[in-house]
Amino acid sequence: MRKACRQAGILALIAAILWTGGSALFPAAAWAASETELYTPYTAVDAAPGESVSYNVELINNSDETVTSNLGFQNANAQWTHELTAGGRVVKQLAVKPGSSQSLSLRLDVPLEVERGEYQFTLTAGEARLPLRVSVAEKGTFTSKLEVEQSNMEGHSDSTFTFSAILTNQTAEEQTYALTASADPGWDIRFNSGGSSVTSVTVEPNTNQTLSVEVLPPDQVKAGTYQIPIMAANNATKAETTLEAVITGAYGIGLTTADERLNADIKAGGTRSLQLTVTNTGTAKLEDISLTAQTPSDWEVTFEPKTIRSLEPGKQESVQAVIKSSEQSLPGDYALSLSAQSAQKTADAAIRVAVKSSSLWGWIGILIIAAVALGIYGLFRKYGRR
Amino acid sequence: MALKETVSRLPVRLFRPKEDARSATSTSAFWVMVRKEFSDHVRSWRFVILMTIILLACIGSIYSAITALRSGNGQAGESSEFLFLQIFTLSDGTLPNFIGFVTFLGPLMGIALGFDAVNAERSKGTLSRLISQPIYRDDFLNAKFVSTLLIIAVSIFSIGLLVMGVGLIVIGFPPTPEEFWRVLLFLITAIIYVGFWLNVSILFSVRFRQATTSALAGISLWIFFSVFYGMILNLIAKGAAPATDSGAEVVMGYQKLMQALNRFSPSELFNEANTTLLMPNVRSLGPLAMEQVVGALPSPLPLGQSILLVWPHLTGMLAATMICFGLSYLLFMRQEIRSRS
Repeated sequence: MRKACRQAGILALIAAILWTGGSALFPAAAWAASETELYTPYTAVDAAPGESVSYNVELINNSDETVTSNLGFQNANAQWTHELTAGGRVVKQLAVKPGSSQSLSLRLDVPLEVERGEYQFTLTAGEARLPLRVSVAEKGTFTSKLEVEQSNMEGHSDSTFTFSAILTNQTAEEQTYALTASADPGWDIRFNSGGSSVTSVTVEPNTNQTLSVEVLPPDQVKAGTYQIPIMAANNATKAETTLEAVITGAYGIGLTTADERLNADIKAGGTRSLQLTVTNTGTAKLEDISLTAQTPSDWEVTFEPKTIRSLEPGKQESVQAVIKSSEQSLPGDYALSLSAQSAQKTADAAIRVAVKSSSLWGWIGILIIAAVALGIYGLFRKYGRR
Repeated sequence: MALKETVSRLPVRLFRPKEDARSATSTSAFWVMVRKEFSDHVRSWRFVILMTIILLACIGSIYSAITALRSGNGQAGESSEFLFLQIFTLSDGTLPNFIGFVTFLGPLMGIALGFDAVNAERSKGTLSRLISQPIYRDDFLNAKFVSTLLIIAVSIFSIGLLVMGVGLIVIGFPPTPEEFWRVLLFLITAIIYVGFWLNVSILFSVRFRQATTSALAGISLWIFFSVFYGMILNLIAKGAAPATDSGAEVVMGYQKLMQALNRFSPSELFNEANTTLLMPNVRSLGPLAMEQVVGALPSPLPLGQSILLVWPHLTGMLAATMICFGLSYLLFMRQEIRSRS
């Protein structure tokens, strides 16, 4: 009973001291640690350079009264920045009802240029302290980065190689990069961003931009592996990488007549056969070459064979083309276009066909004149010389 | 034909063996007659007047062609290629072109030189005396024809070559061989054409006793073909014209019919032949179907093809000429020749 009385007396005393503004009489530190408390579940995290670490912190009031605490942040590293927000605003002071808690957010930005190691921070709210540890696993670079997911591509000489590159700005400022490629002469390199061709891009700090790089090999490219260094640079920073295009071979097809003459004579309504030569001028095999012709009306061109199954590089194949002209065609020149098509390449041969009208009527005319002359000769014989 | 001279040039006959003499004298007699006729023609006023008319017409047509050439009226595409031929085909619109003049005045020349070939001799009484000489009867008619045709050939060639010469001066560069051959063919065609009219008039002169009658007959035929035939054709064309909504084949048939009718006129034949010969870009004379034009390149025809295109025309003209000659030959040989008839 005495003990209970003593306890009550102490409590009353404490209440009296508090009531009269006891903080002036006693050092508050001795009490505050238990009064308010800062809490966050993840007190030690890993972060990469340039990342932001967010903490959800709760300020818990263990006392019976409303506690108003000033918020503070002890930061030994000058490059690290932080922000304390609650309810969408930056807060400097927080009041917590008795027995409840108030949450606030802490955002901690890992600087881009940072040594690897462990960093200590302390969040304070009044007397409450919350030590935080951030481990930086890798060294921050404070540079730009150009990365290509698939830097090696294979194709034939006519194909377009499209690489996808990601340009990351890891500097603190917005950067405008000039995009350049130092390829061999004849190679055509185009940078595309957002569907349009670009020569420079602007990237916000700590963001990236996807670029597609189109690489067009030159016409006469030989098979082989080609390195194409590309670079995004300005006077402050630069990033580079190397693309690799593997050319398996070139497709080429040629069509001409066997004697290289691109004109022909034909009788109206008659036929004429042309010996054509289809050549694989490329370095890759051609498959399924079909032969077609664009003719004047009512003309016919038949090919023998109609299609060539496959043609090895450098090889030739002869094709017989039989041209049949229309009965109605006029004497004079007509244009005839023959073409050999494979899936990859097409070759045309424009042939000028000179139509000659049938000389039948010429002979008939000569016959008529001969008949008339014979008649006159008969008259001479009958009536002359007497 | 002066008889005395003719006879004096025939001494050979008396001293030659019979068979040999016959052929030798006949040919020499024939050529003597041709030469005589030729000189008679050249010296006649008729020829001088004709040549004057034709020369004046030619000068007019050349002038018009040259002004057209200078003002660049020629078709832009082909003008550079066959510039030389355009002297004959081009006109600035004030006067007909050279072909037009030859088409119109050629018949006049033929008729004027041939209408009194036989009947004048007959009415003067020289025919019976000539025939009584030791020459073949048909040589007389042949000589008449050959000498007049020679006159025509000489005059047409000289006019044609004169025009070429003027063209050379005006254009300043020589014709290509092909152009030259084309012009030459054109001149030969003109000779055949005038020869046709010559034969027609010789036929009339054999048939009709009066020179005026045969002249009138010839001139009326000429006027019929150059003026009235076109009018008659227009009438037929109006009557035979298909409805405006008729099919392509009907229209084609109609066009072909009208063209066939048109070609009965010798001047039309001559015109078409020369258009083709002097304009190498002409590839067809009839109506064209669309299918024929697809894929055709606008290039000039080679000379051989141009000739083949107008070969029927040339055949027709040549055959008509020969038939007229044969008819007059037949008529003449079967005629009676009296001292005064």
